[in-house]
Amino acid sequence: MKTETTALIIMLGLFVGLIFCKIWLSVSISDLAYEYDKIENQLRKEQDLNLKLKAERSFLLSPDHLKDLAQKYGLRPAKENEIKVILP
Amino acid sequence: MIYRRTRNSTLGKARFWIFTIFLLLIWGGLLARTFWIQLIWGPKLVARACSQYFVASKLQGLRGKILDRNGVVLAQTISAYSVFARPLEVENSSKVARVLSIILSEPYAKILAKLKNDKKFVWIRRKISDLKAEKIKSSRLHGIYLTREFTRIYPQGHLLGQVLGFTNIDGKGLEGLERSFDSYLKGKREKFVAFKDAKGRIIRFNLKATQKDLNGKDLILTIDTRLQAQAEDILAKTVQKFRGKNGILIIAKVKNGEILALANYPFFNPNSFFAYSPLEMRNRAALDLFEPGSTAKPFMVAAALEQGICQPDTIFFCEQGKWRLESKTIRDTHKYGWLSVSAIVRYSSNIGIGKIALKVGPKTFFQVLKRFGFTQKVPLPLPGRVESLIRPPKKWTKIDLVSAGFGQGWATTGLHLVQAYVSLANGGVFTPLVLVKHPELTKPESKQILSPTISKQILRMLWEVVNRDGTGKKLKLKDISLGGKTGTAQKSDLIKGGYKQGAYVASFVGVFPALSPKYVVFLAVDEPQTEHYGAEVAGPGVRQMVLNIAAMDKTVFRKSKAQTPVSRHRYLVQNDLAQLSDLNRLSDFRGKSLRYALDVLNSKQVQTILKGKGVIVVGQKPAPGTILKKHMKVHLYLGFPEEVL
Repeated sequence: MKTETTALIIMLGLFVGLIFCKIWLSVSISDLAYEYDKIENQLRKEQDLNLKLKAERSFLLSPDHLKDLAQKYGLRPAKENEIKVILP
Repeated sequence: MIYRRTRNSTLGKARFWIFTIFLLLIWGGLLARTFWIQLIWGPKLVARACSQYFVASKLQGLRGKILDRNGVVLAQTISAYSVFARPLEVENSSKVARVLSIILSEPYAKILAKLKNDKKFVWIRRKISDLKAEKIKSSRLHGIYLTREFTRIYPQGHLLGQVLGFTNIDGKGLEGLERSFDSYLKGKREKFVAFKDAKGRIIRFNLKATQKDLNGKDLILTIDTRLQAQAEDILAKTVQKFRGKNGILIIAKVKNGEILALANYPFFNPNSFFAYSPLEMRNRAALDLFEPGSTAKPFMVAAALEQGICQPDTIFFCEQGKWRLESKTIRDTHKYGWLSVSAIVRYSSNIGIGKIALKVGPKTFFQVLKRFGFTQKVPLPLPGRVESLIRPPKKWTKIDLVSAGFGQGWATTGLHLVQAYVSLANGGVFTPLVLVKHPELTKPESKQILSPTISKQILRMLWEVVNRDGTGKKLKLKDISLGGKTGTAQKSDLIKGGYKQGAYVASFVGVFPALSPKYVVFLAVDEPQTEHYGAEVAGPGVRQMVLNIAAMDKTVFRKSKAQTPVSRHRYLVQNDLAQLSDLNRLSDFRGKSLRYALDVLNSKQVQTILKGKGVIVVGQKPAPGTILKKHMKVHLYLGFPEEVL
């Protein structure tokens, strides 16, 4: 009788423990999902910014923009007799 | 006492039972309620909970980029915010409309009308700048929301505009490469179910795909942005100078048919495609048919040489510039007598080529045009490409045949002509044009369509056009061997029939280095007003383009020049030469320009080694004053003005 009662208590303890583990895992999954979501949003924002900066860089280096800047600062294309070819 | 104790016990029992029954009733009620909720209302409540806590959401991949051969971005997608309203949630619509009209620079009445709409959802403005989005966010307007969308931008502006095409507001390719490669470029979309918490935050448990996995693929072109920019610049100047209607400039590599530049003028900027007319969006190089004029003569000569009808030195009588054939009169610009085949090409004699044409015959010439790819569409992934307009040879009269020889009576596109010249220049191997480097597309097989000997003979004739007293003699270059063919074609009158008075297409095809070509450059101007000869209108533009290409590819210089760079002291100004003449010692170059130092050192025939980056010499080895010896090594350390030691 005593052994049976002990076994029952252990079983009940395990059962409660399992339930506790299940709850703990569910909470952890939720926490991780929140964390993941936060990081993913941050990553997306950084990637968006990166793309925009690259696009801006492409625009700033575009031949048309450089030509406008060159004209603004008084530069002009080299004349035929001003071009030097430095051969290796 | 006993009685009292018995009475108390009876009362206690009664109380116990009353309390027990009361508890049982409560438990029974609770159980009944649980039963009712779980089994009767259960499915409905579960559905309601799901709709509150779980939402169907979607993840959209970015559209792929379009890049040039060096990785320069020509088109890319970035995120942008769009503003929308839920009119039923807007409390003070006039105040909200006023704020939005200031931020978005849109009429107040227009926004107010949208806010007073009885719809549940209405767009206020799509794809706004980040700055405007931030202002709207900080205004905290009730019923006004921001959502993230994607927008397509073209950082290089009008560069390659007509070829790239554009996408609509929803990111679907509508024209050009954007249209042809729409399914390849567009990002995938994945739908998923996410959990929504009490604060409305969406949490995704399914981690199967990230946005990166869903992004569209990148398209890499053969175009070189630097050459494309120069080509557009030269083309614009040429068309404006001669007051033409439009123009095209194409540069292709002979070895593999790769197109390095494909310029159309007037320009088209896909960033603001809605501001352009369909004519301005038109990729004329692929779509517009024109009669090639004298640029077609080498193909008639190729047919004649191949058939053994003549040799480059075979002579034909050119009727002193006027030839009556059937009811028509064919004229040359000059009165030529007997001319060799080479001279016919060199002077671009219509009568001479007409006489060759009569010997070649329509069927053979048609077959040659077919082999050079004129009768098929160019194998490029551009929407709306057309075939050349050539009638079946059996319908050709004598006059048609003669006219076809000098490029009249049939029409083709700029791309067809460039493809044919590339094949001619590539030892007679049909070389299909290529515009896309990645993904690799299937293209027609490269095969020998003309013997290498005949190809060389024709290249020699093209060299003579520029380098002897030919129609392109003004285009001769000192250090680069340029060959080419001028073209001045009359334009047909589509309304009245026949040819339009004073309307021409002036063109020039350049191949260089002439006898072992690496590049083909073609420029055509439609209806130039101030001048109409190909050599005068298109020639200088091609010449300038050749010089620009040479600045990037030194291998195109004549070998003799390339081996003697030290002979280039002609750049020195007079004062420098005087200073140099009495010195046999190494000058002090510190603080002087690199250009000056190179001029001096090259003239002294010493070997100059450049170290570092910059335009000013900041140090040198050996020290100034060292006695100079032929071929000695002089190290120049470069820097910028403030670094001078």
